[in-house]
Amino acid sequence: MRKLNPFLLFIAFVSCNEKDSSKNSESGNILENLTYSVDTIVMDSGEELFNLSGMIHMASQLPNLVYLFDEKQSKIQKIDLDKRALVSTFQFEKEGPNGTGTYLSNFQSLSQDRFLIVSDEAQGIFNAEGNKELDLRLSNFSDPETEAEQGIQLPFEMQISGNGNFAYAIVGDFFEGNWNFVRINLQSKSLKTWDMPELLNSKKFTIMLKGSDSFDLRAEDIHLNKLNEKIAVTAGNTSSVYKYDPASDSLYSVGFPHELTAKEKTGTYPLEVTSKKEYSEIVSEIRSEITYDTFIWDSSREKFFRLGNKRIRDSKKSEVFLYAYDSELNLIGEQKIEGLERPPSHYFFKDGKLYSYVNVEDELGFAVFTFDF
Amino acid sequence: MKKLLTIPLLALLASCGGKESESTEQKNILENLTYSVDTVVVDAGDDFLSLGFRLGAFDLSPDKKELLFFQNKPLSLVTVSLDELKVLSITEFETEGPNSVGSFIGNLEAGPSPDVFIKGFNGQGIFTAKGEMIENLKIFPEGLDQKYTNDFMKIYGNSIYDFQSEKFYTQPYGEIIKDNELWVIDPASKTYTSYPLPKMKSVGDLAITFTQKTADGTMSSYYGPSAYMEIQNDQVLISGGTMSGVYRLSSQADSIEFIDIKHITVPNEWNITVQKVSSDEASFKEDRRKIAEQLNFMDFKWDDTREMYIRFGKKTFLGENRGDPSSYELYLFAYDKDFNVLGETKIAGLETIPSSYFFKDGKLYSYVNVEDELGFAVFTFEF
Repeated sequence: MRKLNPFLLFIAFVSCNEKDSSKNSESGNILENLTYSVDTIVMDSGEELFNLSGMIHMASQLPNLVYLFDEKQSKIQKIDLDKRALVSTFQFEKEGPNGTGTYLSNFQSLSQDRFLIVSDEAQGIFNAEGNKELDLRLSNFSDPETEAEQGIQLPFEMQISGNGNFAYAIVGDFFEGNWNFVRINLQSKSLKTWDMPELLNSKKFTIMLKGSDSFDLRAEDIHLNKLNEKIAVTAGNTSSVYKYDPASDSLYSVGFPHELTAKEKTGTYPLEVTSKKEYSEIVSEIRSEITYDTFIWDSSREKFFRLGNKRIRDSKKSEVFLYAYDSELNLIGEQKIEGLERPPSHYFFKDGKLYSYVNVEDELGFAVFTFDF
Repeated sequence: MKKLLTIPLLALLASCGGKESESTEQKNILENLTYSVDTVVVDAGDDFLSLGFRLGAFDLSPDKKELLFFQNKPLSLVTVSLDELKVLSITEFETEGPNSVGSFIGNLEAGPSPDVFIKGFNGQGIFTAKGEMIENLKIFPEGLDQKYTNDFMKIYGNSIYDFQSEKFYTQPYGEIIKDNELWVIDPASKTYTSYPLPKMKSVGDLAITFTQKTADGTMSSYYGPSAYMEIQNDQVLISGGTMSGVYRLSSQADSIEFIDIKHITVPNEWNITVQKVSSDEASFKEDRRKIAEQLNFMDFKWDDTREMYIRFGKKTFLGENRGDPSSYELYLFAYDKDFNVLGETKIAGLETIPSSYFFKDGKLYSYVNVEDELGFAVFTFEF
């Protein structure tokens, strides 16, 4: 991540009026006249350093905080976006009863500087002193209806509900393509599991290259999305999601009438190839189809947004799309973000602006997008 | 598979005597190694085989007359007569439900005909040749911490099943174990015995992973020395690409010994360091090159006609740019039944690495894809 995205070095102001779109005359496309500007801000790490060399794990806590998980040193750095500075650091142990493990799957910031930390070795809620307050390994919970000890695997990702009463997990694997949604009632210590058969489709876009000493894998990302009190499970290859509603304790599939981009990837690809060349050719084929990212909530507009992207063939550039949904997750707008050639990563809304992580000469920075529509 | 492997398709005879060796004490039986290669093609009849770069999960029948392997799409067990060089049967296997171990076969072992043992990503069992599971062997030993008992791959990912002893030999990974260990699991009694394998640590320490999460998916690459575990000459042998030595477990499975093999013409262990996990592609590529250029010891094969173990070693020189072909140096080693070195040599003139290979009647069979037909380069070594 040493290279800086060139588009972020200057403030861009691009208008992307596409007046020819008339399809949405009835329903209306709120993003039809989307314009935007970008600014870049850099955080002050003070005496410390931000380790941005590995995979970036970030969690935001509105109105003004982001947390950065440093896998190598097992610490979480708390950053105040208004002060644009590191404000404190929480140290954790890798091993032992309070160990957070080696490779992080995901983490979530909870109230009072407490964290849900999910790794291969540990799943639990940890406090600012680095102590494990609650062990959330799935084997601690059982399904009262079946009473069976199911073959539950490690969670791929977990989230805690806003009121702290429930934990949610997705379990499954890229090889078989089977994914389950797990709801845990933390009070009654019970869990319930749902199949998500539509996610089997994601496996069509997994590709492997096995050599005698090597193994390469490319797969769609599967994520748990918090939609305020509801939950959605998204897969990169499709706009459709599985939505969980705690009021009815039910999980169901939801599709969206996207028109600007395909509703899902449709190509047919081999699961396994036999040469490097074939592997990279097929990876770029898959990438040239639409990929849908995760949902984020803009509390100032009271709307959900998500991004999509398509890699332009034989180029490092992508087309990036913005989609808008109302608070009930009905699609209300979609538009290409003209002039944006790299899809933002690690993004969230703050004060109606989209913040997305950028590495500014090894300092922690954010590209701040102001959208007008 | 469009490109044909470059193993010569016609018989060739190459001499590769290393006359400079003046071994007075130790005789090098491979000193005057010569070999010839013949290519044979298996008649698939009216069937079409879907073949790749390697053969995937395969095994020989106990009498070595038949080769069994799985092909994908549809998942099916192919039985080939090696004497008649023709496909005997292709049987489709289920990929879901009670008669399946999933859609990938990670391991296949041919038992007393016609049963086979197969392992997938989430299950294993003994199947009839018709694809019916007759024994589900997804069995975890008792007394194991409950948090591991649902973790199939961490316990059985690196395992072999022995039809004779009806036991599993496995090297679990992850937090289940502190260091490298061999577990001998008896599924009947649900018990296991563990043996430390400290020398195998170098294999894991010198493997590298590069993972990149982007807005359009996750890409992950792994590269590293191989670890081997197999039953040859009725013994469980455990070795790794990084070292000449080998662990041997007696067939009674009551003791394990490490045999420190000393070669004279090649280094007996690696002397490099790598960064195990990186998200920086350049450093991953640099480390990959370092690992490939080491002498990677391959697995032991028992040649029952000569009553000796044969082992290859390889050095891979990766192409300068992506797409450039790699070049190789191939070495051959011979050992007696007690792993005393009988010979060692670099094989001149051979620039491909045997792939999906086995010994039969004193000859080495190495899989080749001959214009999408199943073929073997058959090496006859003279020494």
